Amino acid sequence: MASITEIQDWVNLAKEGNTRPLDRYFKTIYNKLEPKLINKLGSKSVAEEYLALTMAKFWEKFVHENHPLPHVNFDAYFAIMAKNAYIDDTRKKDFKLLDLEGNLKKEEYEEELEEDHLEQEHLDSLKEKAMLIATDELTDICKDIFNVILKLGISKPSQLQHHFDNLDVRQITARKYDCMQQLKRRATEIFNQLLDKHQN
Amino acid sequence: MKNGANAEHNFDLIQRFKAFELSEDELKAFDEKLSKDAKLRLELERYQQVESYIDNKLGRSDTQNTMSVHFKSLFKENKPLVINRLWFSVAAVLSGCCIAVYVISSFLFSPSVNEISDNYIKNTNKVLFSNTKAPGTKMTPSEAILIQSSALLTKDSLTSALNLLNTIPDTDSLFLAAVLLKGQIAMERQEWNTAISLFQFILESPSPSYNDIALWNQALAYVKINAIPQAKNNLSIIIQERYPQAEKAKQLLDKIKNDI
Repeated sequence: MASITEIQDWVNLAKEGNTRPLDRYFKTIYNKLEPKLINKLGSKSVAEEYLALTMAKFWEKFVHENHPLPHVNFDAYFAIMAKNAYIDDTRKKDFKLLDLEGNLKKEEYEEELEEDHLEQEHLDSLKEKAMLIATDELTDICKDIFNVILKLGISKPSQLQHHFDNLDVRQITARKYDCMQQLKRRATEIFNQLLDKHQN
Repeated sequence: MKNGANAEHNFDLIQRFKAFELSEDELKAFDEKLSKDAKLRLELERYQQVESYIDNKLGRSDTQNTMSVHFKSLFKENKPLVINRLWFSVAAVLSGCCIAVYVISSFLFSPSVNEISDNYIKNTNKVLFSNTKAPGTKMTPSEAILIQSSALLTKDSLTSALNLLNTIPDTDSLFLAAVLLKGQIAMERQEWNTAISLFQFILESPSPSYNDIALWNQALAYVKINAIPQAKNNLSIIIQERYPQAEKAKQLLDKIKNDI
């Protein structure tokens, strides 16, 4: 198992453009977890899919957004995160993959898709509403950060820093992270309330 | 009050879990709790739905999508061989001999840029679409077409895949993803100029999601039609932007420069 110092070194190299050591580490983890995950998730492609998604989240947070690595067991983390992402997806998933053999009539399938599409649009509208209400409740600095991200389409702290003269990149990184956590938490609470209201 | 405090506690746990912050014991306990506590499981699901929506709105999904594709192709590469010490010694001696032969032969029989490009085209994993949507989210007709076309592509049913993709209108938000698949079909059919045009369309679009894949495939197509300056330009951008293909791009660019 790689030490946190080693992983941090590989993350630092990845930030400089040399992704090979981190790729090797992820590949080693994949080879190690593959049998367990195939056993739990049912197939190799599903194991690959969910582990890749989990690793992409790691990349986003520690390479792209520059957060320091916490002292945790990443091997165990990847396995548990991939497994839980899969469980959540399959629990909620009620979509039917287009039947290539033609068992499902085209009209029936299109009707189902249309219904799903409408329901999805409704859910998205609730999420949008929840996000807007939650954003409005945040502090001014959080609102400013999200406004810049939404209007200019930039998200890297180094790019955001040009719009916040009084903050350095490290401060922007920390603020953006805190604001994002607050937004997601509050938006989820509001989304829950909206869903309950809708279901009643 | 108790429920409120419990919900607060669960949100803390969920956010720390998602941020890779739980210690080994906490992680184990959280995982066990998730398997028994239906309320916590639902809270995690809802949190992930909202998180995915917000990440998408705030542009965080682009990096995650690109890297996810990169990692999947990484997993598909061959596993490293595990060899014991005896075989290692034998291999080391043989390697010594082989290196000498290789150094001499590489001068005599070095593969051309075109051959290297062929090899990359053959070994570049296609970017396909599968159902990885956030919990609770459902398929739109265009998403289903993308998934079905991807399945057809893996079965080499290129014409059927192309016919399906052509039903996605250019006003659809997934049109760019359809163009990406069409570009890869053109590469498979060795229709280099078509591939170049399709990848150019992606590069000129405002979304940067597929830029790395478009630049790499377009560079290989440029090599195939001997448009070397354009290929060099694409490869330089891949290296400069540190895209996942940067290592391969550097090797190909070095080879092009050496040959010239």
